[in-house]
Amino acid sequence: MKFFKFFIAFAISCGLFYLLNNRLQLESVSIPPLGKFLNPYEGFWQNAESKAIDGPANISLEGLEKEVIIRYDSNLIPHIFAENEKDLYMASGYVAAYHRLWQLELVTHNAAGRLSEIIGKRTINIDREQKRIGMLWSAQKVLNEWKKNPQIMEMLNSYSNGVNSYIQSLSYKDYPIEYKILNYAPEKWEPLKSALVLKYMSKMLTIGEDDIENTNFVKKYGLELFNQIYPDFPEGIDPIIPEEKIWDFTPSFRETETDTSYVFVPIAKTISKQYPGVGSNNWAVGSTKTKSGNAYFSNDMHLNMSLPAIWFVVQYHTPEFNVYGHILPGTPMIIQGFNDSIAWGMTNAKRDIVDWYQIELKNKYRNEYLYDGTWLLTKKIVDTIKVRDAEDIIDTIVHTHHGPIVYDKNFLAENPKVNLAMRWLAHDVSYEPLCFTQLAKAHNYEDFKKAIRHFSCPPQNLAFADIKGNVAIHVQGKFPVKYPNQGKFIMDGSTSKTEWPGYISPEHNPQIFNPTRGFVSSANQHPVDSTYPYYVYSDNNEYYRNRRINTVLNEKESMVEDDLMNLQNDNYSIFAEELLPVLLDSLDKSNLSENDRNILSVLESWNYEYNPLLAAPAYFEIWSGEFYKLIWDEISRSDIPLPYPSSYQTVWLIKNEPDFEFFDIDSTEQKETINDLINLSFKETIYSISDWQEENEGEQLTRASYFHTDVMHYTRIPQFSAMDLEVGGSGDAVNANTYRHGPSERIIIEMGNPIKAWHTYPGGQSGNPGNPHYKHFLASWVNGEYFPVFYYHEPSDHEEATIFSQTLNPQ
Amino acid sequence: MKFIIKLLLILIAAIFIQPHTPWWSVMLIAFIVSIVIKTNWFSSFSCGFLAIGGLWLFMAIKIDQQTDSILTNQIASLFTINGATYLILISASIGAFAAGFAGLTGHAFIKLFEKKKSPYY
Repeated sequence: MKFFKFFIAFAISCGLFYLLNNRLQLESVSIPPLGKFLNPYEGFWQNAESKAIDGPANISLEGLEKEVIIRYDSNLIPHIFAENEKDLYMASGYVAAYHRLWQLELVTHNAAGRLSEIIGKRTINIDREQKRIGMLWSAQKVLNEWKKNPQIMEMLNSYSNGVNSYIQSLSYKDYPIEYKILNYAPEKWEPLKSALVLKYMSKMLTIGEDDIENTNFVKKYGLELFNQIYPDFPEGIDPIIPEEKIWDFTPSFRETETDTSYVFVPIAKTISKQYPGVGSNNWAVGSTKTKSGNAYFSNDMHLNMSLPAIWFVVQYHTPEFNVYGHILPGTPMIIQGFNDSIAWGMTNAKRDIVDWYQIELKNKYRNEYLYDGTWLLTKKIVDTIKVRDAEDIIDTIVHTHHGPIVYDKNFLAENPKVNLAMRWLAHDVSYEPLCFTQLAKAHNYEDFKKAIRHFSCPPQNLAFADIKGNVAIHVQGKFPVKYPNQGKFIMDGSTSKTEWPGYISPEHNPQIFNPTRGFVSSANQHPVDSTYPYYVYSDNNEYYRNRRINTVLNEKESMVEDDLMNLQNDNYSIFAEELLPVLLDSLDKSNLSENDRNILSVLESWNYEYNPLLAAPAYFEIWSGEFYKLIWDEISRSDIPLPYPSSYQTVWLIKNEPDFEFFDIDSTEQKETINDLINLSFKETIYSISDWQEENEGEQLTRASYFHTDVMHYTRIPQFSAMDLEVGGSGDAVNANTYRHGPSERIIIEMGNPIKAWHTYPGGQSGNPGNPHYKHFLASWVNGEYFPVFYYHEPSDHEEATIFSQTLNPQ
Repeated sequence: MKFIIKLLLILIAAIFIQPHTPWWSVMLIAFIVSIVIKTNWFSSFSCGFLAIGGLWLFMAIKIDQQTDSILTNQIASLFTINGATYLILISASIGAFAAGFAGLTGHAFIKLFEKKKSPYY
């Protein structure tokens, strides 16, 4: 009996221990180990913080050479004072890990195709795609080259040491909360991970190419229609480099006849593409157009908004330089910033730098492929994807000299003859870290130009302003020289004739210094007009934000920071201005119900501003969407992927080619005209509006309620996210908020003496949902307000704003 | 009296040991104390239950108050628990039950070695 009692008690205790110490899987829901997680001494409770920062005031770090002083200002921005760069980057790693450790690791796991290790089966496809397109492979390749460059390696090794010193100091109770929820532990950092962060950005900013879609279209409808719907240079564009620029050089490109040949291969589904709204705005206004006579610099980079925020703001001070700006957690480089002399920042430069080659393999063993009449050897890389609570997945990826074969019988292609190799600029070795270390130290335009030569991928429109009132913009990247239409379609990989013959020399890249209009700007539009001596093509150019920015900047004189802040938060949509009157003019206004007339009158009196609480932007958004669907029914209903035409060209066709053949709806017997489509789509709009109102009972349909702009936590946990923000804007407005994308930061810098700056971003410096600063900037960002930047010259500066001081000591 | 000593012993041991050890150290503490101080099965369970439940409850309330429920509310909502108070109670009861059953196990364990009192004098 005693034994039996003991056995029962012991069994219950063991059972409790097991249940509370392990992660439980209930269907699709995983429950963290509750004993660990709910224990107030080590569980999530320990992640709740009452102060923005409360670490030890003195820390000793192994490997540090001299003392490093860190001052946190009231926005939790660290101002790091180091005696040399090695110490600086080590401190930067320590600080980044302190605030954003989980984000550092998640982003690099994502880039490396390792999400399934922590998430499980759900992310296998994401991981497979990352491995297929060679993210990890190219990061390793670039790191191998960087290892020959002591400057880059000193930076990345120091950063690594800083991150690792922080990781080593942790026990379970100190882990960021996401580790506790998902029940795993941080792993050691290494320079490879910083390389992966750059690949991650390259993917986000460059993969959106339509080669497969374009090929399908031409195969189905022919090249003439293709050129009509997807012209390289539509009429009326406003490129980054203004007309005044004279291209006084002869291009160094190979003479080839225009080759529009393509290889058709059937593919039903493509790899994931960047959201077309990803873009950014920047401009720099020269001394002639500002009230103070100082140049002003403005940048708002639009990315997938996330929590923890995609950006982290720091200041670096060494005896050699003093720089302030935005870094991507995972690298120590200041991507957008300013120092005592210059300011710089970027927008994504649209150019086709992803091409696809159909490869002819000799046989099923896939060891040889045809190239210029001979059989070359392939290289096979066996990739293993570790999956949490499941078996590993093993994928063999065949590499050619073009790049990895992404689409084949094992991935996305059903037809065994399909073997598409990817030629992607991000696969090439490049030295972006050098660009950023040199920018931090740059004193003038010449230094700026030298620094940005190291920047190849992802290509960016780099704007510049200095304390002398100068402004400039460079479309910077390593751009392949292409013959017309090269890379627009799937190419034949068995001949050298279709390959990139070389790269445009950097001095031929589009650029302008102090243009006569007094400012430079970019918003992901065409870099140049058709007079540029090289062939330029992109699958996705911007047509609206750029024109709005240029209109406003052209009109305004003696500008002050408020003018630029207003422009960054401008909700005006030129797209609405150009399309809505056409829709309204052709609408048959007889037989409208009272409800219809109300909707119509709201639209008729609209000023084309996507203000958060207006109904008109929501109505227009629905109507233009329905209208687009009806016009391009051939595209959206196609069984093979086809490219989506731009709104810009759609409006142009409506106005200039009213009888265009695509306006007919395929699935109906009669022949529809554009007027029919406008009236039909209005009816659909009425239905959609009443459907929306039924679904969202009691809610007003407005820009804000329709878009539901969210800033999501990486895990999509709503409690850690900011949902349903009352913001204005649209993808076509300068304030480019959509559902999940928008200005991931806004900064304005006045390059005077002293330098002044104002900034905000949708998040906060702390990555901890239990920290009061997790969403510190969010409300100001929503309201279009800014925080003044505290730019320190000495650790003792801005004493009133300093909330915390920390000293890192050598061991 | 034994009951109070036992409860205090578990509590004090946990106050010192828990901050440096994983959550399950409270099970070990209750188990060992139950072996050292023999009581009946009911006291063995409730000493662990009350000492650890009370300690965890106190800590959870303290953190919740100091941080204005900043994270408690988020986690409660994530676990679809109605409010921070319930989350505090659930956390405390996890410690309470774990320590309670560990105490009971300790009691049952020491019973194994107890000699039966001889009926003969």
